[in-house]
Amino acid sequence: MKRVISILFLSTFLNGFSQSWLPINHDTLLNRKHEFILTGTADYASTSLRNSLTQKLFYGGEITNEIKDKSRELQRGVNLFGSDLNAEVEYRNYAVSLFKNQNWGFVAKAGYYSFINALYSKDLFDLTFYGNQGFIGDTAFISGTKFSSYSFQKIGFGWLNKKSKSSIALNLFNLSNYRNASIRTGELFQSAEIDSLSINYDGEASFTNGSTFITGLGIGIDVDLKFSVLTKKNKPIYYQFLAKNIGFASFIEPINKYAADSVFSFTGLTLNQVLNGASILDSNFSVLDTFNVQKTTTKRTVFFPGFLQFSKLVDSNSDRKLQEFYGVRMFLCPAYNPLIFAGMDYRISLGSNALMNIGINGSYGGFSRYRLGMYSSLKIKNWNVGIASENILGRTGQSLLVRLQCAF
Amino acid sequence: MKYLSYFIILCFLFSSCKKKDTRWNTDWVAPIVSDTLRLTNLYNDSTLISSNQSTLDVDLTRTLLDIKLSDIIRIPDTTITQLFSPLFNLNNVQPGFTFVNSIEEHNLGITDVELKKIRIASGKIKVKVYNPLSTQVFYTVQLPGATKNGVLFEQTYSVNAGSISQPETSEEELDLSGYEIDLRGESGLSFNKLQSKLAIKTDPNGSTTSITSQHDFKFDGAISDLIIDYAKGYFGNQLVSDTTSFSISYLNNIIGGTIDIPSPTLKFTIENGMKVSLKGKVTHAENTNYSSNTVSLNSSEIGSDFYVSPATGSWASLNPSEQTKTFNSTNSNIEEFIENLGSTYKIGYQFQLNPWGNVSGGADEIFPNSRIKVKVNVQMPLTVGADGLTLRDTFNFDLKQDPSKIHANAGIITLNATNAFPIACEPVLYFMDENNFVLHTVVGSAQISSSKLGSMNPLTGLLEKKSSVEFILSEEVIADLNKIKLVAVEARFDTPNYQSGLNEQQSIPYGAFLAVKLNVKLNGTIVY
Repeated sequence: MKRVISILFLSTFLNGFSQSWLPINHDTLLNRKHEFILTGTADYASTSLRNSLTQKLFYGGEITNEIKDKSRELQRGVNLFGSDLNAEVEYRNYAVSLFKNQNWGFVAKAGYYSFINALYSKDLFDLTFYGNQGFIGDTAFISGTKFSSYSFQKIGFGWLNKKSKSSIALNLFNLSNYRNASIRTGELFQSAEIDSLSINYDGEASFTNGSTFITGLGIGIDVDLKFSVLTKKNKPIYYQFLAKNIGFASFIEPINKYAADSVFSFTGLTLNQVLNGASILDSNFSVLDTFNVQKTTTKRTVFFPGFLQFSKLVDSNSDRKLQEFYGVRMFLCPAYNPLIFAGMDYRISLGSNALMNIGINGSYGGFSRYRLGMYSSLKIKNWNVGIASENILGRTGQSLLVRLQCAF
Repeated sequence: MKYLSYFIILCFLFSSCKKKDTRWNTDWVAPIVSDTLRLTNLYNDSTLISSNQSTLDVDLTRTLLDIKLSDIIRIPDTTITQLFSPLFNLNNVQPGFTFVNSIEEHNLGITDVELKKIRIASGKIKVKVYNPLSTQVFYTVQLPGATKNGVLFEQTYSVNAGSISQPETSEEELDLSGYEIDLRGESGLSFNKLQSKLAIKTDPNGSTTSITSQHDFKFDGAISDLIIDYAKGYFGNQLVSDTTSFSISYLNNIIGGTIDIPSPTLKFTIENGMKVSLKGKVTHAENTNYSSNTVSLNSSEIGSDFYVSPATGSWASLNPSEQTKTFNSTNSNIEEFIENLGSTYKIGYQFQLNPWGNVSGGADEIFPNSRIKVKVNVQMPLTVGADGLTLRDTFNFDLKQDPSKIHANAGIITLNATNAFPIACEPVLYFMDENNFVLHTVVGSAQISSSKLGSMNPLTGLLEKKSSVEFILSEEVIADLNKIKLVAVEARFDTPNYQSGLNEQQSIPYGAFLAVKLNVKLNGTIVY
């Protein structure tokens, strides 16, 4: 967790580049030989965790009862949390003619990605932050809990259509860290007299050894398809289908897997057990044996949390200064709900060589519910720099997205 | 380049930042102990009996002494040797020539005891034969009178050719278990006599040889580790005198207070399972309690001789004789003796076999199942009066926590008890370091009330009283958790009459129990 938090911390302030969250200003007239795009994303969101709590988790400090209580008010039956940290650099070459086709260039890219997603119940939140004292005479339900985290790197190379700016890249992945846990059934009953504790559980967890940088290798693709549809006025509307990190990895060495499907009942030790030391205080006590947890190793294939987005683009060459954009977005993970977004972009001319875009957008779904975002980007000659936040109100998440483009 | 430098500097600045610990408090509850203390555990060995299914009586019987044959008669390790040396020379002794030595008797080396017959439970004999002849010789060793299932002990050994100066030997160790040995000797009138006989035969297929008076034909029989389980004879009038000590260690935990019990009856029963007359006496009896106060049992029965007749019957029909000495309030200070709550007891005794000499004509018998036993038996109603009777027991404790990791801050241990004993209890916990220094004292918030304050449970037919006692584990106690190495549980017991307010004897009802449920509420801090 510390590593994830550190990565988040560093990524937020150091990487400072974002990928695809800013609306793409699509310039079909751009005629350059080379283009570099650096993007960075530091985004976490939740349906039910206030920033005051999440920031303590990330950056440290005491989570007071007041902080806990405020997040507790937001908890529902099913709650989501996720974070997406990444930094990617992409190079597009329009000068070459790939396979001797005048319209084909190539694209090369590399990136680092860290992704966490969690799906949990209100009772799990209460157990974690309040303990089980609130469940005296009650049952805590944590069934359906899912958690996974990934850290991986990629390098890719692919085909580029010079006209449409569409591209398809084949990527090689290194999976450096992977953790996964799911609780199919989880019920914890504490009797009112506090004389019995019963846990019904069915779940599993697996994770890599954190000391090894290369734990799995994989392949995948990125697809960036841009196409236009003509309006009745015979004006094109540009759309983009974007798919990133669609792939999988296999572990080089087997990873540990813990699985259990059992019922644990505890009504207290007998006095003989206490006097003879046969208790959890005993050095021979084994948690795995007590809870009937089976430890195995597995070498299964892991699918990356791929990113899918279909959106309408902002046309840089349109004569409309105010343009709408909208789309739908998806991560291939259980805790992410399909996200829809829509916004308005306003273009401001700052002279012959400078252009500024500002925009506002709203979204619903993903790891959160409603979010309001703003962005601005500045284009000066060959350079385009943009900064955005998908969550400017920041009640249950924070978002920082940066992109730097250079075409020459 | 300038911007790149700024960027690198920023990287270092932020890289040096470390995340602080995240921490928050949580409250956890869990059961710890659930058990019911019943006296039924003691029913099985007849310690407690109930004649009316309503009240209980103590009927405690313990065997203080258990003497068997091997404790009275021990046959020392001994080696018997039989030597045969011809008186004259024999030349041209043909192959297969046999000469037999006469039976020889060997004394077992036992004093004061005249054994006529024994049976060996376990033991061994190592037989070694010597051949001085220049031809192979067959030795046949017999122990006349030693039989197993009617078969005489007889072993034949082949010994290779040797010489007078360097006789050849053959050696074998044999198990003597189960052999019955007649120790009356060849005449049948003696005792403690083991017989042996040696037969020697030259090799029928060997060569002609000469035997001279220089040739010593010998065998050694080293008998060792003999344990007998049957003996007949006269066992002497040996005196067995000793003091047996035993302790009731739990009574060491008493640190104060008194008890008051009804008048008990203490019986010493001397059981004689041997067919031999017995005289004995209890020389003294005393106990010492937690405060080193020693009380001796005073009675005219102490130090006076008693006689126990020989057992009757034999083997499976053996019927021991008994003699009982009774100590009660009319002939002793037995009540004071018991109420001293001694944790260590010393009882002296003395026995003498055949106090009138060999009046059986050497027909004393001890069988495998013969025992001389001394049993002590206490009988009294299970009625106890406790007045501040205080017990303290100490347990090792080793629980460590690191404040920089997940740790507890404070807690409450709650004891929920259902008490069917007419005894009230006030518990106190002492948390001590390795030097027994009390770091913290935690007094229970209430007492475990006597069942006399409760109501009748129609299901059990017992008065039952529920109590809840809380032990507050303050932050100070938890903070010292790493220093705590010992926990002492102290309990003060009283048997109050709630009308008079005085402690008095209370009868323990049949089926009385103390149901204990212990749970803990802990406030802890999660740190990561």
